[in-house]
Parts: sequence; structure tokens; C-alpha cells
Amino acid sequence: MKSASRLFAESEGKLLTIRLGDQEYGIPILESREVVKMMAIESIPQTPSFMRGVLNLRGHIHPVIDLRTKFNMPSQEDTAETCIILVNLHDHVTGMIADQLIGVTTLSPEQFEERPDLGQHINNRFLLGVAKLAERVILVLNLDEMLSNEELLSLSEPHSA
Amino acid sequence: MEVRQFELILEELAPFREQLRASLLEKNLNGFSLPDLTEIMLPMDGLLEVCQHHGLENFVQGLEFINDLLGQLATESIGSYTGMTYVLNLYEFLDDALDALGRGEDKREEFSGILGRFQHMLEGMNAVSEGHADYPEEVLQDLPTAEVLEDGSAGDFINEVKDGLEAVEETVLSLEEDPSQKSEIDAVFRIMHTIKGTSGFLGMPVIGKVAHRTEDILGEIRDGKRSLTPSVFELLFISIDCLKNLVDQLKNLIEGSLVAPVNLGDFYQALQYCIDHPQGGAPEGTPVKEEARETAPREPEPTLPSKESKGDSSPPEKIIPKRSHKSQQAAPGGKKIDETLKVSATKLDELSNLVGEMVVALSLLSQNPVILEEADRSVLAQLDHLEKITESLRNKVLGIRMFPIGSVFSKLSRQVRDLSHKSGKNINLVLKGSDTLVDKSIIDNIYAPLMHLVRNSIDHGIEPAEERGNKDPQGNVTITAQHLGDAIDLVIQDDGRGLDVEKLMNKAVERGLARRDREYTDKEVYNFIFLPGFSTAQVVTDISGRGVGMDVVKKSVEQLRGKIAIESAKGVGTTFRLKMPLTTSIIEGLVVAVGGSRFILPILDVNQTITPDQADLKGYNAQENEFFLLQGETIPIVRLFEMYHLTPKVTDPVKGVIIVCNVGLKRYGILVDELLHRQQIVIQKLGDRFAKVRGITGGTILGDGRVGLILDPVSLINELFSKKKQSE
Repeated sequence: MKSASRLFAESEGKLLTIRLGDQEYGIPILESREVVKMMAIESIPQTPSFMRGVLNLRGHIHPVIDLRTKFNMPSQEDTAETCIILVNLHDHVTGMIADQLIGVTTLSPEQFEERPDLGQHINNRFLLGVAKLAERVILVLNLDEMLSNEELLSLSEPHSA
Repeated sequence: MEVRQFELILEELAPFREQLRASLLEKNLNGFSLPDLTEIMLPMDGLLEVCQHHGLENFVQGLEFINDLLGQLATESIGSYTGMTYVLNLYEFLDDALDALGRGEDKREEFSGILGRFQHMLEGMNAVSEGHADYPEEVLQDLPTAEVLEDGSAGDFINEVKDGLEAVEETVLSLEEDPSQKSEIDAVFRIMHTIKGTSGFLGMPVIGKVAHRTEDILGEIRDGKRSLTPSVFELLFISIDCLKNLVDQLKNLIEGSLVAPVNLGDFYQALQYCIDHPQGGAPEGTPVKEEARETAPREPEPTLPSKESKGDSSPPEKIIPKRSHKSQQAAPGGKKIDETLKVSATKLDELSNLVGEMVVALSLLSQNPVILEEADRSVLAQLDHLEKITESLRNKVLGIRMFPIGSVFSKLSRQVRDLSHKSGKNINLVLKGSDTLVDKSIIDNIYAPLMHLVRNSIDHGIEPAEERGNKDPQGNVTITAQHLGDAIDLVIQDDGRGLDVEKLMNKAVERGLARRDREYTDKEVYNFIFLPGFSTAQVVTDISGRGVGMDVVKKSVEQLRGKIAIESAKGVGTTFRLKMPLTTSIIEGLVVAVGGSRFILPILDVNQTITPDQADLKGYNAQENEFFLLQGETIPIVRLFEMYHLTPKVTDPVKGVIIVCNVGLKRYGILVDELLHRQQIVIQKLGDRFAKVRGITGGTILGDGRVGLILDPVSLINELFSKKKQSE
């Protein structure tokens, strides 16, 4: 099943939403596992710059990526709101650092548009689609695409620190 | 081709596959009748056409093979049961590969490989059924039915037979030592009988046949119609080997790995010999006779062509060990066996993971500021108690995976017995410390390297009796296992001719592995034998000397995180010393800091730690501290922070610490900020996300709950110096 149809079939349109800069992003609820506050992350050498490192979650080691770096946004100091969303995809648990956790929102299919064209400057590869609610626009992330091994390994040349 | 394009092709294929699902996959093999063939052939043709049209060459070949089989089925030139088994199984693989294409995975190459094996198997089968109907020499078994494969009974059967054969082998070996325990034959008989019965039930006729014939002979012995002659023992050993090979073949067949035919020629020959030489009924072998046999030289009167068993059987996947019977004098048949449970290995792993988590959680709790400031003694005492219980729980859980190394030893002694016969050398194998507990993963993997070392000792080390001079004409090979600190020390020692430095040196120069104009220490010369492609055997025998030997031994030892070293003295013997970690999941590590990161070096890799004097630091080209002198050896300094782009506290080697590691024969120094401590660490894989990171083999949770990275000095340094070479 394609990721977009899974959003309604499996997650029943429920999104876990987070803030990154001024934009709200959504993750299909069944792909998210838990949210933890910021914790110590050990960086791993020779990995892409958006790969923050690994963390210890109750004795298990999981990789963590920095969404700001991944989306080419300027990095900023961690705040009390900064959190790590752990997502579960293809039996891998991966952490993603977000500026803030907003909450859970339920979409109806009318409110969701699958991968609209967003202009020539925007590559919508990492998006499942856009959700338009009364006062909010939520970009729904395509984790399949974002967290594929090819994607995570693509830049695995040493980056300068 | 794009995934999208495959999606279109799959849509075209869908109706045919749907039909096949109805006509083929849901059909019971036994309820198959000829008219059904058309139902299968038509959609198959449809599939073939579509695949041809889109140039899916791999599938076209597969479908053509299936069509060919269906044709043979229609003309009844192949048995309907066998033919359909092939068609069904191959189609399942094809179906699977098509599904994979839809998901964007390309399994076509893999499918072609499977197809090749099927074709090979069918050829082999035809050859067998045409050529030697009664006494097939080379045998390829059929794939068991899908039913048997699916409900797991095939896997159970394989494990059962392996366990059984191990028990049989042990019993037969001890019977050969002491034939008075004749009633032990009952146990062997029962196991053979079970193997025969189960294989018949599951439809594996070849295994059944061998077990059946062996059972017949055993029956005669039990009933006193035949006595335990050397030829009978020979037959029993050959039969055990054949059954082992057959079971391995079956396992490979099911797992889809490479399948080699099993040679049953020896077995039938030995069987024929036994049938042709029926022994007079001697119900209870008279004591005199037995004594005579005991003192008689170990040369059996019949010279049966005994062939080395093909491919060392891999150790069985069992969790519960068969306790070796320690009380030899126990009443016959009344062998006491520990009551055991079979538990799946996954469950055990889950259990040990959970206990690991618990230990970490507890250490976090006890380091919690609230607890640290807690003044109430009873709370602290209770916490202390909990820590003790957790610790012993952890040790117990880890202990579950530990088994005595004796099971490996008993397999070795069997091989030595065969080698001893074949090489014509009289070998006395001494095994010490067989109750040493070792992690199961090591037991599973240590046999092959050990066997190779023992073979080498017998083939190259031990001289023929007439060349042994003053030494005991009987060659001695001693294997010792013992715990040494946090490692297991395995020593293989022979009293043979020792390594010949000059000969090794000549060979190394000849192979371009060494230079004549350089001085080498004896130890360096010995280590040449671990280089790929180095073999000193003048004559390549079928025991050893295939030239792939020692480097493979070294590799497999290192894969288990172990080390290997050689000592030798000319004319006195050679000693191989293997140092293995207790388990492969827990290692003793040295925790070091570089900048804000912490790394763990496996203690087995660390030679020593040192802070060099300024005077010992050397270099050139205005780089005055590229290497340093240690005991007259130049040691290059590896700067971890440069390689991993870290910001260290220390860049001057005089202010930091250098960890000296052995990489091959050379030593390298890794510069770190400081040594923190030494601790037991549980290795966790970092996963394929970090597959490209060099020099790091995993991670572990340190005492404060943070993650430390485990370094592998060997790959770290190889990476560093291969890069340097590239840039030159």
C-alpha cells in the first residue's frame, strides 16, 4: 500500500503534528512511536550532517536525525520545547528532532491533498501531501522516503565539523 | 527499468497469476490429476508471453523450465508427485520475485540462481534414477513437500537427527574403546529406528534407507547374531557420516543454498562387506577375545576405503546440550539425563536484552541525584540488595547461553581417529578442560578453525613414526581449554617437527610475501603462514594443504573477536594459542575519551597504554611527532580526532595517552585525551544506517546512560592507511 493511502486506511487520518520554524508538519499517527524530551545524543563520525547521532532509549541505541538540518533550515539552540519524535518504520526506530510538539489532529479525506505541485522551487519528495484546516496548513511528511536507507546513506562521506 | 513500469507489467500478469493461484497453489499435491494440467499450462503460457514481450529474461527461462516439466508430467516421463513438487516450489519462488518487483526490489538475479539449482537437482535426480537404481553412489534428495516445510516439521526433523547422530557417535566411540558395554547398542538402535521412522513419515526416502540398513545390522548385533568387529564399527561411522551429510544436504536444500551430491558408495560397500562376512553368533563376546582386541594394534583387518566425510557438518542448532555421560560405569541403559527444556534462541535473546535494560535502568536509578542525596539507610540498603539480585540474574541469564566445549572436542576426536587411520601416523589426542563453558555462538563457529589446526598438526607437524628419533613413536596432539581472566584460552599443541624458519622464509620470498634483504624475527616468519595463499605442504594431500588454510583460520578466529598466536621450536613441536572472548555479545573494553566523545577499545586488541616521552617522539618534514619509539619499534601515531573531525582536549602526544594496538604484526598507537576506565560492555549493533562508518563496530550504553562507540582498530587503521595510499 502506498504511504498516502495508509494515512487514511491505517492511521484513520490521525496525524501527530510538530512545529519546525513557523511551519506545522504532520506524521501519520501509526508511524510515530513516542515523543521524548531532548536528551544526550552521541554524534557518529563520517555521517551526513543531518544525522545528529545516536541516543540511548531504555537501553536501545537508535539513530537521530535533525529535521532542521535536513530541511536546510538554520540550526538553533535547543529550547525547553525541543523534542525528539521516535518513529517506527520498516522495523527501524529513528528519532527526529523537532522544535515543538503540537498534538494530534484528525483529518477528513477532503482536507487532504496528495502531493500538490508547490511551485518550481519546492521539491515535494519528502511530502505525502498537504492538509488544509480552518486556520492551519499542515505538511504531511513521507517518512518512507525520508528515512529510506538510500536517503540516510546518500551523503555518508565525511563532512567537515 | 522503473518501478512504475514493473507495476504495469504486473497488472498485465495479474489475471494469469490469479488463475494459477486457484489451480495450482490451492491444489493439494495428492489430489492432483492429469486434466488439472491444462488449467496450469494455460495461464503459465500467458505469463510466459507477457514476460517474453517485456524482455524479463530470467522469468522466461524459469517459465520455460516449468513448461518443460509440465510437458514431462503430461507424457508421464516424470513422476507426478516429484514433478509437481518442482513446479509448485519453483512457481512459488517466481511468484515471490514478481511481488518483490512490485515493491521495487529486484530479485531477478536471485531467482536465476534458484532456477539453476532446480535444474541441477532435476538433472541429478534423473541421473540417479536412470543409472544406479539400487546402489546410487551420488545422491541428491528431493525437496520435501510444501506442507512439511511450512509446519516446521522438516526443521525439527533435521535438528532431531543431528542431535541423535551426535549421541550415536559418542556411544559408538565409547563402545569401540570398551566393547563390554554392549547393551549400549540398544540406544543406538533406538535412535536409528526413530530416524528411519520419521524420515519415512515425512517422505525422505534416502535418509530412511540408510538408517534402515544400519538398523538391520544393529538389530543383528543386539540379537547376538553378529559381534562387534572392526568392520562393523567402520560401517557405523560411515553410516553416521552419510546421514550427517544427507541431513546437511537437506538443510541446504531447504535454505536454498548450494547443494552438493552426497556419496553413498562407501556406505553400500561397507554394508556389502558386512553382509558378506556374517560373524558367527557370539552373544556375549568372550572376555579373552575382547582383551585380545584391546591390545591388538589399532589396524582393523578389513581395509575398507574410508573417505573423508565431505564438508564438515556444521554444529547442530540446538539449545539444550546433551550432557556427556560422566558415569561410565552406570548401569547399562540407565544413563541419567538432566531434564531439559527446549527454548527458542530468540526468546533467550529477548530475555538477555531485557535483563541488560534492567541493569542500565538500575544504574541510572542509583546515580540519580535524589538517590545520591538520600540519607535514609534502609532505602540505600534495599537498593543495594536489588543491585545484587540484578547482578546475579544477569550472570544467570548470560550463563544460559554457555555450554561446555566438550561437544566440539568429541567431534574433533572423531576426526582425529579418521585422520590417524588415513595418514598412517599413530596419533594420541589429549583433550583437557572439556567442561569449560563457552558461549554458544563460539561453540557453533570454533569447530572449523580448530579442526583445521589439528589437521595441520597431524599432517605437517607430526613426523611419521620412523622420523621421530628419540621421541615417543606415537605423536601427541594436546588441546587445552581453560578460562583465563575474561577470556578463554585454547591451546593446540603438537610434539612434531616444529616450524622450519628457513623453509617458511623461502616460501614467503617465492610468493612475494617477504623480502630477502630484510631481517625477520622468527615470530614474524611464523606469522607468514597466516597470509592468504601460503601453504608449505610439498605434497598437497586431501587432509590439508589446499593453500587456503591458515588465513581462513585466522579470519574466523578474528570474526569471533579472538586472537591467534604461534609458538614453535624446531624438533620439539608447534603450539597455536587462541584467545577467545567468553561471549561474542559481551566484551571487556577500555573506555577512552576524545573531546566530548567516548570510545571503547576491546581489551583483546590493546597491547599497552603509554604516554611517550618527548625524546621518543620522531618525525620528519617539520612534523615532529608522527611516530614514536617503543622498545626499539617505531609506532605510528593515529589521531582519531583528525579522522573523525572531533575537537580534542589534547593534540600533543606527550600530554595525552597512546593506546598501542596490534594490527597484524605491526603495532599502532591511537592518541586519545584520557583513559576513563575498564568495563564489561554489551555490544549493540548500530544497524545498517551506519554501515558505511569505518572503524566502528557497534555501540554500547555506558554507566551514565550515554552511548559509547566501539572501535575496531584493525579496520580503523586499514582504512586510514588505504586512504593515505590513495592520496599518494
